[in-house]
Amino acid sequence: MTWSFAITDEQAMWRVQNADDHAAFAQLVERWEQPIQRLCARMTGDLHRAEDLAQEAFSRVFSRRRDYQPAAKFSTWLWRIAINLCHDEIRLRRRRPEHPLEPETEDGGEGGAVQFPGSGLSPAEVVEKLEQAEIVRRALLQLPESYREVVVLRHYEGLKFHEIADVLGIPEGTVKSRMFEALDRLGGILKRLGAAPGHPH
Amino acid sequence: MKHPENEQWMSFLYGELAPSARREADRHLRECPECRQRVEQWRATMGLLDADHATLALPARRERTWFAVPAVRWALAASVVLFAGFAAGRVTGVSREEVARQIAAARAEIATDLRQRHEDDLKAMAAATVAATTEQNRQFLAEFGRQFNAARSEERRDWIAALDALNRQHSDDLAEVKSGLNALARKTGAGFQQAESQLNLLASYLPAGTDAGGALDSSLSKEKP
Repeated sequence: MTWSFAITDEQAMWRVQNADDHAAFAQLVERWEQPIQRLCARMTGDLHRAEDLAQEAFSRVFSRRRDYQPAAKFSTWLWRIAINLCHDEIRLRRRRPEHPLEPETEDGGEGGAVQFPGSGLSPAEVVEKLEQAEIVRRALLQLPESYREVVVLRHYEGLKFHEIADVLGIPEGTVKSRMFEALDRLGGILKRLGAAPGHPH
Repeated sequence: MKHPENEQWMSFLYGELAPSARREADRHLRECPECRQRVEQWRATMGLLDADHATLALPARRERTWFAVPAVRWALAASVVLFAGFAAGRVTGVSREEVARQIAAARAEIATDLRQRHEDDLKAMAAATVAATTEQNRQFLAEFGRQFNAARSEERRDWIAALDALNRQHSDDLAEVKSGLNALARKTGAGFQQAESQLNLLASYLPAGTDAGGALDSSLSKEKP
């Protein structure tokens, strides 16, 4: 990432770590809030809970700032913290079955609002896309967590396989094998859920 | 024929292979229907996953105006690549996979572009916020200083004016109450007169000698012819 006007994530984190620099911390939050929230939303299937989880992740970053290893990539550390929080959340929900892992419906307040800014789609096309997206989210939630996290990080957040290996602390080959296993399973799940393969037109 | 491992196909599909390895994989795909089918299946699933790419709109604190432009560029770039692939395919027989790969490459490039735009957007927003805050603070301080100085010199005048106003208000109130009382008195007098004349009218309708109208009747009868 190139930030002509600003410091790198690692420099910012160094300032947070050594000078309790709140401005630097705010900058890190600003940069990473949305990706972390997206991760939590896809991992838990709960858009609103994802907001809380992202906030919790950042408060952990701050409270554990002394543990950060300056040689490590900041984002790797942050993804790991967020993923662990998601695992905790999912475990908690399993114990309390009244909150099953289900994607939220679209009427869940402004947090669930779905937009296609500047897409120029007709309302019918938007509805179709929404239905497809809903099916995809449901399918993702049916994957085992260890597969889901790989799909979310690679396919949606664009991390490289070796970066995911760093985040999860597993060999890169394992990440890749989980990825194709996940794609195979998703193919089956999506077919069952009625998603048309390829383009709907 | 030695087939690439599934792991290698993942690197291939997500554009993480080095150019030479990628060319080799492309060649293999052209020759091996078995691998081609598998890769096509993965690709189809990846395409379905894309349905959720744009739709997960999280609670946004700001308008994402940056989206529109890259979307247009995306479409443009994709169409250019498609056309190029189409043309090349007609001339040289380049495979669909090659075209797909080019599209994937263009897509990756545009994703980077998108990210860059988002960053630029954040940057501009940060600068604007800082500028706005600074300007606001400056104005606030200036206004505060002005008011503070004005307050000192105007304090006495304000007090006197306030007292005057209070006094005036007081006498105004008194006058109002007085005129109100007068009006009430006038109205009461008029009311009495009206009531009396109505009673008289009523009495005139009553037959003489009834108990109810008796007294009145007798008192009024003198005036009647």
